[in-house]
Amino acid sequence: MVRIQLNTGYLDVKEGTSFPLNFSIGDIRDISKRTGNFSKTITLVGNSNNDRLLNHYYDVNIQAGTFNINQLTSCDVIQDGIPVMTNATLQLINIKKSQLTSAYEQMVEYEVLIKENRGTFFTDISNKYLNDIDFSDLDHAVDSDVVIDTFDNVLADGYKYVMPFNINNIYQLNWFKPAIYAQTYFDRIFATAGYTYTWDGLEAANFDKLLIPYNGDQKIVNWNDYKVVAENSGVTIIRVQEIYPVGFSFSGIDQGKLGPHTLTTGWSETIDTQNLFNTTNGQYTTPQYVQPAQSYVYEATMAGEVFLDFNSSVRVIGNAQYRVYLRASVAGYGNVKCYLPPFYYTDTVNYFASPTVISLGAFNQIFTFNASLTSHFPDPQLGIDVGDIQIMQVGVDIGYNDVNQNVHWRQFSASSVQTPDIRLVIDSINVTIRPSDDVPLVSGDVLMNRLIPEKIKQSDFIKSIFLMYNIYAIGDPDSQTNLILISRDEYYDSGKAVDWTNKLMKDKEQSMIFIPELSNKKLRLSYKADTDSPNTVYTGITQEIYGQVEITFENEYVKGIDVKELIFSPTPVQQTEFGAFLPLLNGAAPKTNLRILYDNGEVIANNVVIRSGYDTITPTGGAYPYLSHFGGLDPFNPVSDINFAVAQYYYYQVAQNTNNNLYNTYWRRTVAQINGGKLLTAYFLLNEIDIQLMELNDKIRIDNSWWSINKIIDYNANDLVPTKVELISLETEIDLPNFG
Amino acid sequence: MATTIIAQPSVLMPAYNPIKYIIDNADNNDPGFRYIFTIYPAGSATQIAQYKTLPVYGTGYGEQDISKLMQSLVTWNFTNGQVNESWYQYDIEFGYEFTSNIIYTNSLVESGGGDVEIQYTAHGFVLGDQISITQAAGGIAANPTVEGLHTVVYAEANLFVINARWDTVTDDTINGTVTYADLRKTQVLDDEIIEDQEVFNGAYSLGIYAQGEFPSADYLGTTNLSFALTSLTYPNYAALVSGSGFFYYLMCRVYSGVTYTIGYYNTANDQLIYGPFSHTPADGLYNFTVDVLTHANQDWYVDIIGDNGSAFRYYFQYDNRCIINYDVLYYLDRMGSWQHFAFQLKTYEKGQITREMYNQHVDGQVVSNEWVYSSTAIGNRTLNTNVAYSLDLNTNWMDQYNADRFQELLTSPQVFYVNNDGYSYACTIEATSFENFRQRNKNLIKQSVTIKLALNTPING
Repeated sequence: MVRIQLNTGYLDVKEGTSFPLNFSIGDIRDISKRTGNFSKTITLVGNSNNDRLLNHYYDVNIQAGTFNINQLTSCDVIQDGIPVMTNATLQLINIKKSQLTSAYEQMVEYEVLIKENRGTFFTDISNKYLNDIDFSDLDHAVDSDVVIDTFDNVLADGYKYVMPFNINNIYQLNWFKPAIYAQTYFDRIFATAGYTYTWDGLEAANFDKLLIPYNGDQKIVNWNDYKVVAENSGVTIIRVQEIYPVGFSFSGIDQGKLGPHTLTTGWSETIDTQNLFNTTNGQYTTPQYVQPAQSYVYEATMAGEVFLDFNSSVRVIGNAQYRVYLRASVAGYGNVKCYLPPFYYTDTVNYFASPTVISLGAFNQIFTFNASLTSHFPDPQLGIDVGDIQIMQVGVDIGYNDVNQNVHWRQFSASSVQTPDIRLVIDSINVTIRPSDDVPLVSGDVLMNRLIPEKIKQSDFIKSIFLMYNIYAIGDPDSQTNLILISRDEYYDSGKAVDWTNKLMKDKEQSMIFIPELSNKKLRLSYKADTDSPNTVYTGITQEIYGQVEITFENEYVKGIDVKELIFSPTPVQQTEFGAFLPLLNGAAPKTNLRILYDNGEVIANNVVIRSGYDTITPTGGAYPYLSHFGGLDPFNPVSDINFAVAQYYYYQVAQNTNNNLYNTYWRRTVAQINGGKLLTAYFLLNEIDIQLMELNDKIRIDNSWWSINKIIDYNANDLVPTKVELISLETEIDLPNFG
Repeated sequence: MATTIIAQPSVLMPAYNPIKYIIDNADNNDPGFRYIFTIYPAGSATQIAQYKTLPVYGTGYGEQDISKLMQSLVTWNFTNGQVNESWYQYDIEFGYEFTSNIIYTNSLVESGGGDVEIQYTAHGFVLGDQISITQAAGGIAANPTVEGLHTVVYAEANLFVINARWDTVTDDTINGTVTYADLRKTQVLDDEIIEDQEVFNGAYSLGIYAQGEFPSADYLGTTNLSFALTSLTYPNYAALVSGSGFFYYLMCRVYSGVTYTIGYYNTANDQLIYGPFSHTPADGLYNFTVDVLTHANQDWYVDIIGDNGSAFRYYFQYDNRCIINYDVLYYLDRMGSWQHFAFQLKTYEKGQITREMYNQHVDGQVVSNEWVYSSTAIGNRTLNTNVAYSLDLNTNWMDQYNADRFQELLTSPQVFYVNNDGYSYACTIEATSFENFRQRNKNLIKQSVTIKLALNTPING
């Protein structure tokens, strides 16, 4: 009898129905495919016990309770008291019900699927991207010295700056981009999915030395570090007009403009990382020198209203114009005003009796203006210096055609007269201040979450690493959330020998086919093509992708090519004139497909200088990070290679090449198994003990032959019936038990 | 929003009959309205289940049958004494939810900053809320920027301002409905509560043609002339008792603090055996074992008297006929008590064997430098052998009342077979059809039944 154990109890399986379990870790038909153990549809009876454990989901109105169809539910499959599948998850997929009597929801059956936990790991990460991972703990302040200091970083540091190839020894700070270690990505992908992994061969595979350079065009530091976002709660400013005696002027009396008024009160701030803005007086302290051609950018939204407050009976002459403006004053020197559209006022008939208030209009307007300094008297200064005080000013200019005029009014009363006061009521100002985009910054804060490759799925990243190292993921019997990663050769070598000779049901048909017939004539393991110059030149000359391997099988009856491709593109390496061996990446135009590089640590060549800001120069002392597809400190005599095979040519003359590439190290035996292998499909009498003790790397002996398991198909845990099994013949290099 | 209870089941209900609650709410036409039924164990805050139902088309009522849920909370126990696993006490709360909204009818006004201000007493929105406005007819044409999604840019208790310019409003008198942009709901779970409702592991029926209302009060065990939770009829008929030692479990609703005394009497009201046979159960259900341990030799009845004024009485018919076998089937009756039925005539025991085989690899041996098969080598191997036991049981002649009981036995979900040795075995009834004999048509009634033991004999390999 088989039961499904949940944390809340045991589910009862319908008697007489099939409980088909499938066991597999990979499929020889597709060598890049990684499969898991799973069940086909299992039918559960609708008894009170199952109803309760499955939260009465037969009722369309029920709300989720202890069992929730949208959440992963852990389970074990127990056959006759023996666990045949552990660390699995159960999914309720269907409820069948019928009512043969008037009883409410009389007959119910449930259909469920069971999937091994490692399967859910890939489901969990399938819709997540690399930039969904938080790397803010790697945020840091950067300048040229910090970049140089990271050249000897290791995995524990999390990242390292990549020095791209350059024709000479003069570099710009922004050409350096941080690369995060592949293992750091790997660890965080597992952790954020709620999993851990154990990979005993990780260091031997040098996976801890692989780096993923940032491949986008974001600069490492930008104006965001100096950005201030501030708010002003409002202020009222009045221009009180002069009082004129009776009969002062027949041609009209003048009305003066308002401002400029410096905004010193009412400030608060929401962003000010570098503490540049003083909310008590509205002053922004310039953080970095900018040349006259560059500036600080102000983006402000100001809401308010302009009024005329009449003091005596006067009437305006002509069509008067009133324009509200904002501007930034730098070091006491005003800049260009940014005006609102004008408000107009005209009334040539009425004299207003005092006091009367006229609204010229309300505004809620976005102002964009710059603070710059080209020169000013008496202290000539070009550009804004560090420490210069910038402050916002507001005002209302008046006039007719030109706003730098006075407006004239005609008097009515016989007593002294006064033109209307101009009253500017500001309800709110929201302002953002930052250096303009073309300011070359010397230093700043690097926010690592901005420097993660975009649109890269976590599942694709993991699959590519698996493809590089031919890794299998198996469940950990001691932990529900731990996956054991192991390369294919190690996995099959470590399998135990099991004799299934007497379990073979010889009265049932046994089918044996030849594996090369299941595959294409050729297999290509390759990096992904990219459009940068070094790769296109190589492909143009060789008709190959840099670092690929192409294997041709012996079978002459098949044709076609099977391509297994990483998400990474290859990165050739070239020697520079200052003696360094650097990846052929373009620091000025860094946007490429995703890359992966082997970190050989810090190496000394000739000196290089890094320029930052307008005139800051920092020497490296010859230190550079030696990043390549080759492993080993000597670029001419590498000891390992993360290319699949030896390239047709390199961008420098390698003295003694290495054969320790990915194909030879991790794929050669797999290919050998396909080339000469056989696939046997037969029925075996397997019981729950066999399944419990079975591991998918077992070496199965049947009479006079040895096999490994490709698939166990539809093992029925609810009945003792023949089980269909696919076996593949062992390749010749596998470790077999001692034959005594 | 007041919830009104339209219909509710009795306090004590059989779990296998409809247990339906019907409620009403005057505001059931509100957007997103759902009735909510939440069930808790009596006196507990740990929710068992929650249902959200749409108003029924036509009446607008909320209806929910919880019988299937209750069936999963009760079961049986073949034992004497307290059987609270056959009983469940629960509280049920009635509530509702609807999409949070206000319908403004005051004219729109201009805010101080030139935006649209909506006046509504205690609207509940706060600064920054994302809201959605649906205007009444003509609103989209007259005030296009008011329609749709907005942000609350200012809020006081009785007015709020949205980010729509006042100068786009051409008709400020058009009403509108304001909801949160995420259509969040206002939820009330406990608008009405019914506490201490009870169910038991039973199915009540007046007969095959009618369901009938369950007379809950008769079974509550608080009155003189109370009914036990059994299908035995009280008090006009007598069930057969095959002999001493064969018992009935009468399941009764009992109360803590009450002492129950069992007395046995013949039809002349003489006490047959003396006690005291007193019980002091906990609150819930209790199986009273009914068995005249000393051979009664006459028809008799049992009285279960509680000192709370309750009294249960059932009659039994002594069967003194000659018998061939002492085979008895105990079965769970429709209401949850256990009855027995004697099969006094000849019993036939049968077995059925099934085998599955396959051809396996045969190892040979080397004899005198020659490879030969071993004579003991196994080619065809039996992989599986099953044996299933069944018994054909035969009743004695019986009257109409006991013939009706036999029908209940055939359809009982839980049956135990007791043989001559007195051992009990779980079994299943094999019958798939029956004829309910009527004494007026057939004076003499006798029945047969085939049972299959539920536990098979294990076989080694």
